[in-house]
Amino acid sequence: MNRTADICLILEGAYPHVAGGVSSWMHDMIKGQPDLTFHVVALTATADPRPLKYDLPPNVVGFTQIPLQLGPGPSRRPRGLDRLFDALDAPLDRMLRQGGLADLAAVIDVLAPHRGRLGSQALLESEDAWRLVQRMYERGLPGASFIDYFWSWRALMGGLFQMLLTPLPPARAYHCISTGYAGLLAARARIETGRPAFITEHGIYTNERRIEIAMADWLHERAPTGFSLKRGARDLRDFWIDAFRAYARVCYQAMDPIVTLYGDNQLMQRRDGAPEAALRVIPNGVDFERFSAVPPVEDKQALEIALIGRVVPIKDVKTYIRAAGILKQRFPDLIAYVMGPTEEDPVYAKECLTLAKHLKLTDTVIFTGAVKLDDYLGRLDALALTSLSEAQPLVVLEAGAAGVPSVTTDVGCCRELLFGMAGENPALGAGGAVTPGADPEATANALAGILANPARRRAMGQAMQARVRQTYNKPDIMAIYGELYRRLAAAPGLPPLRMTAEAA
Amino acid sequence: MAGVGFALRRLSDKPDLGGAAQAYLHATVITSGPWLMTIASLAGITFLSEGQVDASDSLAFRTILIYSFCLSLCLSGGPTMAAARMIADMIFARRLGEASSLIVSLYAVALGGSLLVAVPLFLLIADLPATSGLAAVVNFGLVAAVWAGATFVTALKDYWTITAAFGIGMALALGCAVGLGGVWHLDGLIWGFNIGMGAIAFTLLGRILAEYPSDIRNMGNIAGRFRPLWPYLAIGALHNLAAWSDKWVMWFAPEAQGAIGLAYYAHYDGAMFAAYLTMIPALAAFTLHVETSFFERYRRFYDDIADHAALPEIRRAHGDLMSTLFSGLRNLIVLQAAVAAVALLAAPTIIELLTMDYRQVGMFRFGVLGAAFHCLVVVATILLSYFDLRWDNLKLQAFFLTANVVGAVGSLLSGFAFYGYGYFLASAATALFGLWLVYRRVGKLPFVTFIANNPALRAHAHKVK
Repeated sequence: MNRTADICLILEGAYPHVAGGVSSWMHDMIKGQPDLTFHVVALTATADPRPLKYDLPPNVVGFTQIPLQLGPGPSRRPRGLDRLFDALDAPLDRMLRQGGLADLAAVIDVLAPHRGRLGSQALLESEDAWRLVQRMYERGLPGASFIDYFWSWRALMGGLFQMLLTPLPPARAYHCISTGYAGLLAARARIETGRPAFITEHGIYTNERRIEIAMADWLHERAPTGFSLKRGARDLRDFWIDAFRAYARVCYQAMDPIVTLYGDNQLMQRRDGAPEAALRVIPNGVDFERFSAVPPVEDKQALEIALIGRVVPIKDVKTYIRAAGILKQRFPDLIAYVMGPTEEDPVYAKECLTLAKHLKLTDTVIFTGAVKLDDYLGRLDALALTSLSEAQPLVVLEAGAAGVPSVTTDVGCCRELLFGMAGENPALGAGGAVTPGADPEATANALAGILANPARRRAMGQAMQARVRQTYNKPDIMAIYGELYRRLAAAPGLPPLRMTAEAA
Repeated sequence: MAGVGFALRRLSDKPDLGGAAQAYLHATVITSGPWLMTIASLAGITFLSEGQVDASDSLAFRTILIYSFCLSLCLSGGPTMAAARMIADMIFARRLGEASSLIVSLYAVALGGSLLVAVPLFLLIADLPATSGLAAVVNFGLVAAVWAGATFVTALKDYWTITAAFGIGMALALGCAVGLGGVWHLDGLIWGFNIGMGAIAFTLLGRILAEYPSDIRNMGNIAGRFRPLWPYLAIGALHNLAAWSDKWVMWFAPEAQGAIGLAYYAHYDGAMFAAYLTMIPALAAFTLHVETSFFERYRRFYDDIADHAALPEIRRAHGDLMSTLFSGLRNLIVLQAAVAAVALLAAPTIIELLTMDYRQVGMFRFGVLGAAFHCLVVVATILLSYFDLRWDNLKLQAFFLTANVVGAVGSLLSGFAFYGYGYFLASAATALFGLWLVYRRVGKLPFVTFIANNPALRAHAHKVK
């Protein structure tokens, strides 16, 4: 299982342990490249073995689970630990502040000779480590709650050190699906092996972390002393966000290409230090052949719409239910499906059911649970997507392939999906409508505009279908990745970055 | 721990001298309760029974007392220490409902263990008439019940009950022993003493029954709950074994005259107990210091951390803690040195005053030197317990036991002139080791708190992801 794979995939908290959009994309990608071999590296929160949600395809020749926690390591204090920390301090500090790949290379240079002899006892729990925490605290966040800084430091540095010390599977090219710790490991692979590495970001990791940290109630904020009302002083949230930005910056500098699903994401990638020349958009594809073959149901009695997705707050199912309530006044026989699993957030799911009941919509809003889309797409007159956040929602494309237009909120690349990328040639026209988020009336009006006008509905469906065939057809996307994988795996070794670090 | 310091502080804050004296008295009882009781009993009996009781009865009685005190202390030292820890945790967590089963268990262990040891010792091995043997077994059990009861009353910080119970109980014990001893000889001595011990044991028990809810459930759980506390069990047991080990070794000196068929060296033990008395002023002062100004700074240090203090504030709290600790230690050393110097110079006079034998002067002097360092060992033990440095504490007690046995054997082999010298060297070495352990850990308290002694470290899972 440990032969050199063509591609080493590095995933954090996703495939093959967690089911979901990115995981199924990854699974399809591996299956779609049967002539390439893969080694899957899954980063998990703890070392506990976890059940796999996918059967690994036969071309996966290696699988490694790496916990984000640093193991204890030998209990004997390694010799020269004080010198190691002295050498580590400056590049680590530079890297976390505004540094880049050369600083990461310098950190690796310090740690690499001691691999196997370093664990949490030396790097996080020694007196030398204690001195480093205090120095970093004094430089970066003097005045912050020290107990929170300590735990934050431990979590962030523990993950960082683990990524730099854990055994790295050999491969001809490395592909990570996010920045963060996965990106760090990929950057390290690039530095140490000289093999090419690239990244595909669906959502932007640092942005997701930023939201998570902003909402974190486990971080104690100490009000800065002084009379200024401006939020001037840095706090612990900045420490976390800066660390993830630093990890992203380092990762971007090592990756080529830096792929994302749509143009808007590149704004955030640029802001986090991605070099312009490496940026590239490769959208996700859907199985056009399969979905375009779904026959429309001609003899149905009523208009039918659907929201396809998990019943969770980020999908804002409640706005959809309210919109269905407004639409019902105009189309009394309307059926509004909610197609997706309700188990992930049972409390929210129950709230949605209660809302439908209060609005007297129990005959209109139908919760189907998870379904096979092929059985329903032919019945749908329009798809609604009320999500508060999305990257590139595949359901819009799957419905589009079946000729179903969509009304979506203005999130992710929905606008691009419905109206075409800039410079679409030939221009195919609108495949639906975009509305503001959390606005049931706007969603209802946009849907009514489509439902009430069959000719318009058909035209939009056709435009969507043509666009999916032209730009988002899965075999085409697979071919793009296949070409990329093969080119990178066959590329000659890149110049070793460690020399760059020494020069720096 | 909360509440202790404040109560004591209130006492010592009283402007009149009476208040201060009262506080010192309590502090003395807390630190040196068991020793004081042992010494007071032996000295009191020796002193009071002179001319009232037959000399051989008095010697037999003292031998029984020594065996009861030392064996019951060693027997219950471990369980008592672990139970003290458990009850403190229960009080802290306000889970007092679980206390009853612990109380019953500790009494059961103390009394059961007493029976197992005392019955063969006094009824089979010792050369005692059956009536006296039976009285001695009861004595052993009562003493064990006193140690067990004191644990729970101490946990309530009810020092007044303890002090009063011990004071009145001891007076009763000595009075009854001498009174009854004059009439019924050895049996009278023991039963008389038992009346006083019983008074103490049942006063403490009464206080426990009044204060703790009686709700005996989950008895089966207690053994399981004791298991993780085994370091405390070991610390308690080793602490008592260490303190007694030199005496046991010396019981086999050629000069030792046993009594009632049991080994015993009255001169050595007497000299050492008299020397122990020199520790009391300094230890009482230090205990008072620890429970008041030190405790306030100790709490501030931990509260600051939990209240999200910035590092400079934590360092400042640590600095304050260290300076109060140093000033307490400095005062202790000065006071102990002064008392020791007086005792060394006035040794012959003291021996005479205590109606002891002139051959005990040399042993007494070594004992005084040893006690000066032993006092630091006790201080180190208190401090290591305060910071919950159980492994260091365990090392310290094991070191003391080893050093004291080696020292005593060395003394024994070197001859009469060196009796007590081994204890002195062992105490000195252990004191240095103990202070080093304390300094090494408490000097780096922020590191120790956050990393070295942080139970949460292993349990901490990553919060992100």
